[in-house]
Amino acid sequence: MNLQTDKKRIIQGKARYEELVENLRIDSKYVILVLAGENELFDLMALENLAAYVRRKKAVGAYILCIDEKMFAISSQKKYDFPFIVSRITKTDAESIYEYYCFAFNIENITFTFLNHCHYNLMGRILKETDITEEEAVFLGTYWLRNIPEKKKYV
Amino acid sequence: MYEDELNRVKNLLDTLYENGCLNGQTIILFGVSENTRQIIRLINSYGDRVEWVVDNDDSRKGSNCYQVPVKPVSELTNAEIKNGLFFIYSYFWREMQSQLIEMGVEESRIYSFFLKDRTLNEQFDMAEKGARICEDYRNEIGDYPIFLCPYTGTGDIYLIGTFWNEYISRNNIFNYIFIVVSKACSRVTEMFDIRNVRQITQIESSYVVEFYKLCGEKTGIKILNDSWWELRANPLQRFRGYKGLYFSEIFKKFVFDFEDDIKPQHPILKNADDDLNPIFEKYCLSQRRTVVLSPYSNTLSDLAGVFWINLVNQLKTKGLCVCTNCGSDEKPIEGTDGIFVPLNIAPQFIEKSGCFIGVRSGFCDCISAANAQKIILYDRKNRFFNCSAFEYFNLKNMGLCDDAIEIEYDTANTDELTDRILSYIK
Repeated sequence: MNLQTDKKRIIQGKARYEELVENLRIDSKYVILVLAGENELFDLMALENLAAYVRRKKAVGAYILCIDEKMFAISSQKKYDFPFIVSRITKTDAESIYEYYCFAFNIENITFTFLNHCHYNLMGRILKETDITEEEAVFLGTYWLRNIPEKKKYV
Repeated sequence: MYEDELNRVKNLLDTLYENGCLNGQTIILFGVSENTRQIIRLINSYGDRVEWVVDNDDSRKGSNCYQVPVKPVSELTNAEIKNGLFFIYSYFWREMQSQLIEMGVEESRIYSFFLKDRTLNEQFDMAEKGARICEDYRNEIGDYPIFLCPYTGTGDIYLIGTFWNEYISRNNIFNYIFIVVSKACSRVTEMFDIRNVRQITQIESSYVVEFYKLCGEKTGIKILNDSWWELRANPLQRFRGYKGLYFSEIFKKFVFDFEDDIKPQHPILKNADDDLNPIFEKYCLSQRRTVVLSPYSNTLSDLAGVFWINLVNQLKTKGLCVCTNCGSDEKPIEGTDGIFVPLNIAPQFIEKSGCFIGVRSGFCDCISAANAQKIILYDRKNRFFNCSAFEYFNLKNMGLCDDAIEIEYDTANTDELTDRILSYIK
């Protein structure tokens, strides 16, 4: 099997990521949240709980990158007690960078709300086939937090 | 930790040991994990002792990790912060290291061993090697789907085996290539009708995983694991134990895609007297009056040696023979012989013996069908992701057996545990 096409795809993703970091002058002490726009509630929960992710990563701020206009508008209205920057990203770029992220090991401090993109991303199935809520999925699956605060547990 | 990675860590530790860096030090490991257990074994081999394992999960307080007591990071004393020598082997090493430094530990006293990030070119190279491994097997056996079991857990292989016939039948899979990464796992496949089993090294397994990650489903590879760490876009492991997503449930739903509540099927146990009779003779074991102890676990907490020694003595006063089930690098409990029985006849060995007492491990899955008294021990404080180890792994909920006595114990009260165990033994 010829692996060249797939390698090129990943290299492109890396190039897009590096371009993004340079264009937005992304500081390594910031986390990056890419809102994929596949599930509005999921994206809203990611925004709602972003502070917990920033704390866990011991970051000083966050970049929020939105594929769709609506989430861009909502994100721009958010209030956090840390510096944050909201920007747009094309679907093509987001997917390309995500594919690079899924393959590579050396890309940190970035997380995505894709549910079904990438052949082994089971987040969409977890939401569909279990009674795990979007907020719980963000806490445990996207932000990899150790546990869900008591008040947020859905019994 | 993979073998080559374990060798790398061993080389680093050897250097520290030879330079006298470990002498007289308060050695503390950060993070309860299988990797930590392996490092403890290495440090023990130098004659040194690990003082504590610390963990951010406060619920682990009071448990043991390879017989080293566990406490919260927050309970490190000022003396330990100042003088401790810390070792970290974790994907989260950067954050853990930062945490220790914030607490006042000098950076020079922290050794983070986690494997260096693979570069993209290294990963591409690994994927190419993985592609060649798959191609070689397909040239040898046929152009069939490949199933890879990347974890050395024998319990995983046993569970897979119990669902295997149903899975291939439902998916019209008439032939396949089944890859495992250890001899022990290979032995477990022999209990079932699993064909075309090939054993590769753990690093070769990584090659195949990188090939799968790069090229996706067109590789014809399926990873048989409840969530493999190298597949970072699969968030499933973070939901382990949450809202009923226990070991068996995750395998059924997300690995085998069963929609219904299918029951596991044990293998038919073949007569193994030809292999077992010489063992019983050699070690003077008594049929149906022998207790086999299994004190070690790769994945879960274990109990201090003194508990087992006391239990051995008590069992012997009841007129029972006692032995320890031992792997090649494991020591038998004092006062017993260490016996290694290949996993493919382990259930028959337990049946012939009559009684099994062990901490929860993959071995327990493998012997779950044995017609014998089975006492399985779980540390009440042992958490496994989002639930207790008992909730995640108990054999009854897994459908593997309903006649085992599964006990959750408190490490602070092992006398009570001993009494309880003895009350079940005739």
